[in-house]
Amino acid sequence: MRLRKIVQQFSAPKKNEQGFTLIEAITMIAVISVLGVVLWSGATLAMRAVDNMGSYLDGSSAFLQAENALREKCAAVRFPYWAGRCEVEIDETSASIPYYKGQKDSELRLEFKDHMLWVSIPKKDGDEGERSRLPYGPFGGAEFAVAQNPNRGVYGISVTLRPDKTDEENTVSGQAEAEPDSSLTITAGFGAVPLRNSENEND
Amino acid sequence: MKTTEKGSTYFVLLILLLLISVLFIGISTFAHLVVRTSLIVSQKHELKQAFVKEAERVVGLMTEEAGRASDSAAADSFHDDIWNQIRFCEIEGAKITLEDISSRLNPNWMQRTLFTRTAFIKLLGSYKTADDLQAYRQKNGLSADIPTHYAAFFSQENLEKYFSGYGYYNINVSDEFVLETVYCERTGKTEAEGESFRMLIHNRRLNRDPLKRLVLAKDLHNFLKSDFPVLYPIINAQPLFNVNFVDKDILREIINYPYPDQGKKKRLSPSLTDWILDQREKRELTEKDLENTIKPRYKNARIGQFLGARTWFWKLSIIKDKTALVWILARIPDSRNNSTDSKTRGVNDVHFTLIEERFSE
Repeated sequence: MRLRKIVQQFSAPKKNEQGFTLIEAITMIAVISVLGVVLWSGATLAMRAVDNMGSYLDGSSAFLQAENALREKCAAVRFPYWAGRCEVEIDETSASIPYYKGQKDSELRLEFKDHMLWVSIPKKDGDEGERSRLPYGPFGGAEFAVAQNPNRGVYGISVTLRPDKTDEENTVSGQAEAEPDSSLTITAGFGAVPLRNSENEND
Repeated sequence: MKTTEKGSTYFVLLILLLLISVLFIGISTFAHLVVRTSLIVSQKHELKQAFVKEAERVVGLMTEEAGRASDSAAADSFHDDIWNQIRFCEIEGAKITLEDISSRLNPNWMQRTLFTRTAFIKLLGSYKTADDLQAYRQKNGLSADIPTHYAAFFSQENLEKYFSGYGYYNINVSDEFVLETVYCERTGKTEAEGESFRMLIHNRRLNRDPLKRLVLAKDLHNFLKSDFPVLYPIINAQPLFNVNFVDKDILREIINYPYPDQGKKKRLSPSLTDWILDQREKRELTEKDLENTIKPRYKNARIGQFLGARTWFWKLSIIKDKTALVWILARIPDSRNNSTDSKTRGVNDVHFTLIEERFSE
């Protein structure tokens, strides 16, 4: 009799070892779900913030690098002071500037292609291969224009660069179009410009 | 939960933490690089702005100096106040230098006879003639980059000492083919029109009366007609060299040159060179001094197209350690008033234009 009691005492489950009730299990799953959703949302937000920061830094870095390169290359453009005017050829996607390093047949070429701003010094007659061609970007677009002083003398080139909007998050639901204009205009002066007599010239 | 399962949970957590750490370290490193690049770019920009501001101050002083209503303002020399003023620089540790770069020979405009009738022929390299230089210019055009463009004709030492790529093209003493090239480049007109312009100059130079061969400053507007606004001041009739700065070897050869408009002898007094060299050490020489000294004639004569008392192109440098800003400035001759008389000149007549800038670090 006594032995049976002892066996029952050890073999029967205790009150707190009987497992969870259905309500407890559902509550637990609900709490875990809510926690999971919160954590997942937080993680997603954090990842998006990291992505955005990365994109912003990428963009800033691309702008800075493009600005540096444009200023450096344009400063090496030296039109002779006796030339009639700065003959810069500009179309929708490119600009060609002669007198790179003071040589008439050496040109600085700026081109917007495949979301990149290409800064190149194409080969001269007799040269072999491309002399130099470097991409900067990515950008959403680029516009070229000559930079003029108040008396309409050309002194450099202006390049307006738009941020790249090819990212998935920016192209969905037309968000990119609704954003304020965040384009950046870089004005780079030439190293030397033709001498103009502002008293007489009105061209 | 089993004991072994506790370890695996911590391991996953550690991996996650590691990944997040690596991600943030990467981002922060990239951010640091971008900020650093941005700082370098902005510091470079600020440094350049400080140099530009100082250069503008010097140009202001030069304009003020040249615009004063005094006889000394009609000339530029080492006796001007500007040389004392540029000893002081507002950028700590920086040095300002000013150099006349137009009172030198310029292979872009030099006539054949300037070589063949003077000792300048010795400056040409072996197996090179003045005709070769003329043919080379015709074929390859002109260049302000003298050391590279004319390296085959002159030694680097001579190019540095006697030559410059900066200066106006005097209509009376520049090579007529060069004037044709400048005419076409400046106006954008055809070769045939350029040829007509050259012939106009050619015929003027063939006039039987040596005194009528020159296009004087006051007649330049009539001579160039509708092209004047585009050609002036690149083509003008102002003296090329400033006697106060020109190299003594160049001065000697210019004075020894045979001038058909200097009477029968065609030669100026050889002692003139020594007089100029002596006087310019003591005081500033003006065009009035040259007019009173150069006999039989200076004004309206060919020597007056070479020797004057004004500098047309200046090289202004501001240097601090390895950073340097170099400006090439052109003084624009007043087209309305070519007089050198200080009483008829106003302060506003003087105008310097920046034509070239170089900034290096």
